[in-house]
Amino acid sequence: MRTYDAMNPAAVAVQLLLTACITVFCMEPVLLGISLLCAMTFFFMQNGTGHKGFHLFALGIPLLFALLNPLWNQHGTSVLFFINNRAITKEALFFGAVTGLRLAAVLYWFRIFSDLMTSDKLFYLLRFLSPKLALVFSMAVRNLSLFRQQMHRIQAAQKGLGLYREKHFIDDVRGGLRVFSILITWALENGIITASSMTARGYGTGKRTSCTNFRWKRQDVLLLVSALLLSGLVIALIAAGYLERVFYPVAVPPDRNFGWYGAVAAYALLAMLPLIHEGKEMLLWYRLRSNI
Amino acid sequence: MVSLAVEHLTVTYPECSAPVLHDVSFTLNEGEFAVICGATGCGKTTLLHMLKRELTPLCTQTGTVYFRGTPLPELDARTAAGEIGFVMQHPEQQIVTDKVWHELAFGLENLGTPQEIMHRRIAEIASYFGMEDWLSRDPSTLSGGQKQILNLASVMIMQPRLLLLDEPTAQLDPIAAADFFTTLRRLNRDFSVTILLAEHRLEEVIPQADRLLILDSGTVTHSDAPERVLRQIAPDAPVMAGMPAAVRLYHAARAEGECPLSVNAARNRLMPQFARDTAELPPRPVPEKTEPAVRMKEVFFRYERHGRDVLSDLSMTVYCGELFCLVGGNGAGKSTVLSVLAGLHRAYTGKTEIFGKRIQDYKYRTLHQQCVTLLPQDVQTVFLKNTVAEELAEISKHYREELHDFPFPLEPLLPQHPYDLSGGQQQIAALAKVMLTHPRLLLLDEPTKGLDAVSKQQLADVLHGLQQNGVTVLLVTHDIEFAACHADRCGFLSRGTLISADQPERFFSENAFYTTAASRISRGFYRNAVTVAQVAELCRKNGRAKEAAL
Repeated sequence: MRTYDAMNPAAVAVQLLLTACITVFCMEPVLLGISLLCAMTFFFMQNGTGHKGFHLFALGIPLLFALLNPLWNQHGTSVLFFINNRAITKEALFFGAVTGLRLAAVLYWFRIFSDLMTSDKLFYLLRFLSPKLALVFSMAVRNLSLFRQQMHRIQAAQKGLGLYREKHFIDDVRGGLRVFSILITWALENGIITASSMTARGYGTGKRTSCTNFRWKRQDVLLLVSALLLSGLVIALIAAGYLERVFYPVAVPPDRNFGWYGAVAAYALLAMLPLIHEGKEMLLWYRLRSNI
Repeated sequence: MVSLAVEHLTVTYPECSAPVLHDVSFTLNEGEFAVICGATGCGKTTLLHMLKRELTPLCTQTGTVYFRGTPLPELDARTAAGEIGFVMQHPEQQIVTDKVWHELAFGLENLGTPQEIMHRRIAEIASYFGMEDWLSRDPSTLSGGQKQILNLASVMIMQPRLLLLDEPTAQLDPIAAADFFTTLRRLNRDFSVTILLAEHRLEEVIPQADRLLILDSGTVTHSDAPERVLRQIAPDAPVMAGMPAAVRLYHAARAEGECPLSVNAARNRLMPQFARDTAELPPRPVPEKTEPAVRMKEVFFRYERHGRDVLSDLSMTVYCGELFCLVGGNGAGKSTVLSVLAGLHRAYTGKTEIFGKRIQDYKYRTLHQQCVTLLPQDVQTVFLKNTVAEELAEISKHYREELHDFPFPLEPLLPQHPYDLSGGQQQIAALAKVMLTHPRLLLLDEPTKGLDAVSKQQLADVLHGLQQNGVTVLLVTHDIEFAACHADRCGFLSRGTLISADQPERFFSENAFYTTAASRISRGFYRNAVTVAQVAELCRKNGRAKEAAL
């Protein structure tokens, strides 16, 4: 079974980023609702019921948005009630809710993106931009973790020597600064050895190739093409103004014509691509396994 | 076929009057396993770097190095990079990328190898080195031994014909080092890769080597089969101190015949030459028991709530003024004992007393101030300043007066950057720094790691000197030879428990596997002889056997 995160990272990244970007530039509540629903479903499929903190954050902040928007937004005509002589309007509340929905959906999509795109996949994506940059990225990721390890080691060593008072703020800061300065020396020293190790293995002898574990299979191409076609369609329809919404002074219900339905349907398909893939793989695996 | 030929190589660094290497000439045949040894600073590293074009330092050079008949500078850049492999000392710093598979691919990428060939080579090499399971891991999560195997594999993937290694096992424990040597030997046998290895851990390597090169102050003095070289070399040469026990015994006991290289050869050819009338040296006087400096009673400790016990039911006593060596395998809990005693971790049950006072009763800094000091394994982490003098002044302005009885001349080290010192000097400088806090109990974690025989001896002298000044030393080590030679008592830690503790003579002669080479050689011939000096003394006392079984 080939899960969605085992697909070619380029195809996955294009699908996720396009889905998220369209969400950012759209104010159509139906489309945003679909976006949030798909993102949350996929998130639950990936992580189960964990990550309560993230759910609270991703749903709570938008809710706050919806409730607070009417307080400083005085547009709109249908007054619900007054707080301190300020009118709370239905339109402002609605606008806040839609903005919140948009924010929540985007938060979920980006969370999914950062969970799926581990360092080796980002490395693969960076190769398209520049193989050199990709190598620098890979080395940077490695050096950051080495840096942190060495810092902890030095701190433990200094503590074992009893050179600093415990729980003393000034000593902590001074000690931290000293540790940082020697860490820089250490990193430079290390860098020289790493550089020799690189030249010893032929770095800089000519054109490099770059090895990757990811290939393009039929499924990946299909995913990429459908993501591009669907999002192209949605963007074209948005640009043509089919999803335009007016909130103030009176919220006008959209003109649900052919273009509106087309855009929403195409977007729904686009956002559901990960779910469709997982569902298909699950069914296929279920069938194959029942034959074993 | 000649793989490598060095002809009259003389190398001088800029702004140095004397050359580092002087008229060095030798040849290595295809498929030879050569070991090069010499004291620290004799030019081993420079020589190896001169043989690898990409690493050649800025210097003036006369003489030529030929690789398979072609002078080194005339080699095509990719041939030079791919066919001459180089492995360095530090396992961590040689690794470039953040994934094992990518590290393996790195060299091939540099040579512009096509994608499909890279995949095949990675799969091949991973299966040969048994590293399929770690391919997708981050190299920083590997153990030191695994990292060094990875470094070797990522050089071997380029299919070199000549492999240069600069003290590759200095930072490894003995078991990982033995694994590494086994792998090297296998590469040499299976693919006839020519190997030139600079090492000071010679016990296991010399018996396997085809050729031994001795480098003495920049000149190759010997280059021949190990047996022959070792017979010619002067017994008191500094390089002798690092040789296998069998070789040192051969010289110390003035034995005859061919020089034995391994324990097996020494038992069969060397020991029967001597009589066995006196089987034992007079026992060392047992020092009178002083106050305990450390007393641990039924101590249990674990790092995580649901983890396993790292120390379990540990009871141990170290007496004031003692040099106590704690030995044991990997993961036995040796370093953990030290961190508990240094107050970095707290045992969840059991009693720990330091100088008669419970460890939790030392409030604030009193445990560390003038009482206990821990020198960690990676001794570089002790240094924070730009010179050794600043390091010392950081703790005490009057360090010169306070260190007047320090048993090592520190003056030459003072103006240097701590990172520029050799491994042995770093240990000693760190010791000087911690002595300024006037500890009564010194805890040392693997102080002999990466040191050559001469530096080890210097370190031992410093430790004995500190002992004379009334310091108690507790050190944990993998280095059982060091423990046997210098400890007052040794303890064996296994699975978090102290199994036995005794004087080294009794301790190591009762062990059959976990013991010194000298003890394994003399077993069945003499009793309670665990160091080369002790066995040699017994041999000399007994004299030659009547019908020498040569």
